Amino acid sequence: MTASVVPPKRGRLRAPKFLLAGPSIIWYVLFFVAPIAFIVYYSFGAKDSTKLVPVNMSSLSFSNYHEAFSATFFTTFKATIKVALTATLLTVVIGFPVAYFLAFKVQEKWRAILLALVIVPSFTSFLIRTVAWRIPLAQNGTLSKWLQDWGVIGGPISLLETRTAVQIAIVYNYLGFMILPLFVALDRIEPVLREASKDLGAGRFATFMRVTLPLAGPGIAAGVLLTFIPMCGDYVTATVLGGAKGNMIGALIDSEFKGAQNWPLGAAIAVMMILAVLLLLGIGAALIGVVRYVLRRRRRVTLDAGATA
Amino acid sequence: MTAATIPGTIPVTTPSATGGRNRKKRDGLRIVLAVWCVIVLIFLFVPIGLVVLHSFNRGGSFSIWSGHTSTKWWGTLFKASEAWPALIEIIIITGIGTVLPPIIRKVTGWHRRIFELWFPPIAFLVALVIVATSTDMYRNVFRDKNLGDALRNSFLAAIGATLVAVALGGLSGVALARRPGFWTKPFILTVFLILVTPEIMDAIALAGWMQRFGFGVFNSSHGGIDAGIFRLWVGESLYASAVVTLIVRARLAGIDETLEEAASDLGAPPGRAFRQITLPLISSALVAGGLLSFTICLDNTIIAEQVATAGSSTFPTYVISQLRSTVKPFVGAAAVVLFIVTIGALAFVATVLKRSGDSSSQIAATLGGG
Repeated sequence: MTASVVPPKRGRLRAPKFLLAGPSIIWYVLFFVAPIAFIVYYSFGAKDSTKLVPVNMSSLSFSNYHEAFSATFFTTFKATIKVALTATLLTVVIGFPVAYFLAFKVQEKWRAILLALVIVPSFTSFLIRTVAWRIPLAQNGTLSKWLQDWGVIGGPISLLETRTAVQIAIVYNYLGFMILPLFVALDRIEPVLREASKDLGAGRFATFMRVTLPLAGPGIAAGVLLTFIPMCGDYVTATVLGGAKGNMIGALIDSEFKGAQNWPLGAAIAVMMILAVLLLLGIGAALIGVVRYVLRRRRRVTLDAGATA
Repeated sequence: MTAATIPGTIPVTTPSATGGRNRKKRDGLRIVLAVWCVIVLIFLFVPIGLVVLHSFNRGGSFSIWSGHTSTKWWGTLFKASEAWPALIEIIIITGIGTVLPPIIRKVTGWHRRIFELWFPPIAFLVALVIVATSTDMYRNVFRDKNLGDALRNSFLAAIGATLVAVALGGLSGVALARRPGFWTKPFILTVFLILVTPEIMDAIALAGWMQRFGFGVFNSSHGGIDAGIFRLWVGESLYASAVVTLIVRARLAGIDETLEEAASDLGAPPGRAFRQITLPLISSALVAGGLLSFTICLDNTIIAEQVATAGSSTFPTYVISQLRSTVKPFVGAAAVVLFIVTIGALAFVATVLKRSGDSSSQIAATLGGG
């Protein structure tokens, strides 16, 4: 009796659930895909201040991209990429030992507390954390006074409004977002694998290089994606601490849109930034692929040779 | 046990001695790493400590320490006569919301997990709304009108964006976990693109889009809410809904659909099966994702900077506007308030996830975006 009722009900249940994603799809198309498509479209237009949307699309050209490649912009481009690459590298170098310690070397009850301590600063206001760096970095600031009192430096430091200040603060701002994925990746490694490696005679260094590090690869990749890309577009840190010398590409885009009202040029710079980031990530992925391929070839064990020996 | 007390201990102690040496060697690395971890934590916390310290600065600048402490800037920010009652009101209502479900459970024996999970955060929101209306949208709590409006706008924008994000992310998370298909790959790709696209790109794109197509919403105020707040709801909801989507999907990934199927086999219509089976399963993910969204939205700077209008400037945009002149220490005081709200929300996320059976590692994974 009931069995005959079941199949149609199941069918009814199956249909609506796909539609559950409908609102999100509409939302993302309307407020993410379409706006960004328009930015790409605007980047081929010309400035027209007389309109509400100050873009003239009557003749499309690449002239904005030519301008985006001019000397001033290109210098800022290079500087931004340099700051972001350095900061990503530093966050990995600083964050990896912390993640390793949390994943392997600490008791469960301490781990929760230490994780909380790493997470909390990352989720407190990004802007305020950046503004806070004005305190130690200021010319008459706390850090400067301490270092002078201890005789480490002769005169007052003047880091504020320099690229070094931006560099320090960017490392600080994104460190937590690097440690978290690194920890998650390391934590997911089965302890059995590391033990097996040791039992098979591998030293600690060999175990780290051949077992732990390769298995942590996805975590490092996630951390790099979560930090490097936002860093490239970050202009808050540069605006707060960098002054004129610490200009970054995000600030340029901002000033073209809000200050100069030159949307097409701002759009072109933004598109270039995304392309540059994708290119760099592609190069990085290719390099890692090559290194892994070479290592795999070098370490390959041919079973036939073992059998004849 | 007895073997160890026998005088001939040489064969017994030798392995334990090497074991001891091994442990000592391991401890060496552990100590180095522990010291490094402490140094990094100090590095992470020093600026936050400085913000708290400098909110009590007696001098007129946030960044230069005058050498004397004073609460005068807190007094400049809040009107004590209005702020204390407001704070007590919030604490009492939230407190009632937190203790009421366990009491009801004890007295009547009636309990629902959803009810217990959602009651405290909803009580907190209700408290904010009650205080907002009784003190004329916080206008009387803050002495500095601009900063007060900015904080109010921040909360208003974050609450709206969080509600949108929880609704969208919850639905699409369920759909992703339960009905994967041809649409999954492009959808997940979009979600990841939203997570990694530099915010400035989203921000300028949305600002231009909303200026061109107002949809009758983004260019005029409705019901006393500034058009800029609607813009912020949309702008801030994008990233937040992506986060909620991933958290909900991760939560459902480990649980197969047998429960829902059993419900429908027993004759439950889809709506009821969803309400009584799926929703309780994802409720902890929704609360965690919602609070996480709230902290992210509260902090959003770049989107707010581009998208907001003059009437809807949020706390971060206010601080940026202040940077052109001297930043006053009461900005630090407001930041401390936001710190406390954020840390409270995070602590609540951790409690909710812990109660639903997550280890600290899983909580970290959730906060790290799945």
